[in-house]
Amino acid sequence: MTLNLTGAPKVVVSTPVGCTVNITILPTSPILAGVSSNFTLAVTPTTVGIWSLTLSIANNDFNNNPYSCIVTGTSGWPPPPAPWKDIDIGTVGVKGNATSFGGTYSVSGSGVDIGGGTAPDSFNFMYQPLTGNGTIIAKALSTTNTSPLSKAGLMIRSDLTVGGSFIFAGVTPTGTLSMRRTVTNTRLRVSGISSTAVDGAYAAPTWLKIVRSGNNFSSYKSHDGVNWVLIETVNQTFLNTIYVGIAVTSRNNITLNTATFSNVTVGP
Amino acid sequence: MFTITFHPTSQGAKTATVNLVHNASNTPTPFTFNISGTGIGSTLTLQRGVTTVSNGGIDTISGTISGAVSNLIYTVKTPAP
Repeated sequence: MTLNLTGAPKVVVSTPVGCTVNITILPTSPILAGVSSNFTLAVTPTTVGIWSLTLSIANNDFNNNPYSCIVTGTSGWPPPPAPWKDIDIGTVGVKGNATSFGGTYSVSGSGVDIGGGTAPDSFNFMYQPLTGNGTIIAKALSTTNTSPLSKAGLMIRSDLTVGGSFIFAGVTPTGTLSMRRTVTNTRLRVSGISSTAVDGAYAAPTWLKIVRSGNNFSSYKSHDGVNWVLIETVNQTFLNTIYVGIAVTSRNNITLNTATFSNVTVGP
Repeated sequence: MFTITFHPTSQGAKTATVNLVHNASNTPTPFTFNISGTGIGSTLTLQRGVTTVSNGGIDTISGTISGAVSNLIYTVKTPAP
């Protein structure tokens, strides 16, 4: 028998929680037996976590009038805002990603390592270009102990290829370290790698900073984001435009190291 | 000529009595007759893709992202006779 949708509008949305919703396409009515009609809900979660709404369709199905249901979901974090982008560099075992919400950034990367071992680097890099002098600051809130030397932290990098040269200041599960590769090397760490020892006094949560001044790159650590302790300054020849951001490797290529950061700023 | 519309509001047998009050001399007034019918209603089904969403049910959407729009396409239909 012909189905009549008797409401006005034909589909009613009520009690949206944690979302905004528009009905972008309404169903037609009457709907002949054996025929169907579509409608479309455009739902935009406005929060991270659970959202829900109620649908109600008045109709001439005597046993199901109105026909109503709850539509719900759990929304994840969105990608970081522009100009941030995200890329896996090297051969990662698990695809990485970057998200941000409410001023916190979550960067997840697998990979074998950054600047260590005998295999090529592989990690996830949330990045943006930096032209000329500049500073990147972040507070490393947490990192996942996927390896004793898993790494998550700030990186300044010549390019987005696996053999690029870089400056890195980040945290392991037990403290901070600074690293660099001074040679852009498609054969990978044949030369140019150096690293400081891990400083257990600055385990996450801890502040990190790298300052570029010409070809001098200074890495810093801090407990409060005010009083900075120089880790090291290295001289390295880079192009004027390079990439800055947050690099994360699990150093355990079958799993992701999820690291979180706040107070991420890139400035002059 | 007049038309009587049958508009059932629930399922099942329905009856009504029609009385015509008149002044014709050859037939008692009112002229009375009974009408009946059956309310069969319709059947609404709701689906999102291949997922059937029952009346009173919960449709859980996976993979939504805060701040990103998700277009959910629902299909309303009633079965063939």
